[in-house]
Amino acid sequence: MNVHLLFAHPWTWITGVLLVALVHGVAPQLLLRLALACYPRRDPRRRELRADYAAVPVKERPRWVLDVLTAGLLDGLHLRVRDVRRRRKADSNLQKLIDFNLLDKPTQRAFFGMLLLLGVEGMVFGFVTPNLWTDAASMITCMLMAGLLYRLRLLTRRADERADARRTDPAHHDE
Amino acid sequence: MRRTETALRVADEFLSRPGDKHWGYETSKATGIRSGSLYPILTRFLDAEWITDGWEDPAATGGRPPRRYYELTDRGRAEMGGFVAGARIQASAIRSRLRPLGGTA
Repeated sequence: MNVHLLFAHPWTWITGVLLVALVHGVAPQLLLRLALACYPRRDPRRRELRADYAAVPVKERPRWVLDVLTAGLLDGLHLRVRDVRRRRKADSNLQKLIDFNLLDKPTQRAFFGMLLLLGVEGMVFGFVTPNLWTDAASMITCMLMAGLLYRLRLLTRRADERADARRTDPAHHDE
Repeated sequence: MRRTETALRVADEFLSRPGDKHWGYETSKATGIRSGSLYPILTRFLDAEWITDGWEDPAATGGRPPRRYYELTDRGRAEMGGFVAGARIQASAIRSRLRPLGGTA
């Protein structure tokens, strides 16, 4: 074989080298990542496949990874989809809990700010400042506003729930 | 548990070395089953509680990622034995019913 010919047409061997590097180096890694992404985040199979991949001889890796990817698509993907759905549902439940069982942040901040101010003024002036009553009134207003906001959200949620029930079950009637 | 050829081979591998720890790639090599079929079978065995899994101690792996091991459980030893034996009986029954073509053995 004439070696000079190889260098006279560099594209031939460069392409070959790149192809080998792709098939045995980069491509299996990418496909493995894809296969791992098919499984849920905390699935032990992810760690297992990564560890097993390290033990597979380089020559066997492309085929091994293709097999694993097939299994991932057939067996892991539906688990991943289920996991994502479950997490989204849990997130929305948490959001509902925050929305309807706690006061929102600005109201909380305003309420505690007024309370602090009242406390500091009380300590400094011995509760004799003419502002004291204004502060107390503000605090009460703040409490009332927070309560009203909470009540309004509760009513909105109930209305939403009733509308949902009507949509899913046409025979549903309000009591 | 469905009695497939691949599941039987994996079960046979576990039963041939019941006290040992098995890991994915090694089992795949020993049984000649491709990784795409092996891992779902291992999941089925885990779900049936025939095997249990564990992880290698990271300190003892010498820098490589710790592997996931599978071990046969007591339940697995009993039920897997029946699973393999049942398949063997079934296979021999089928074989005995088959008659060679042309009347010669």
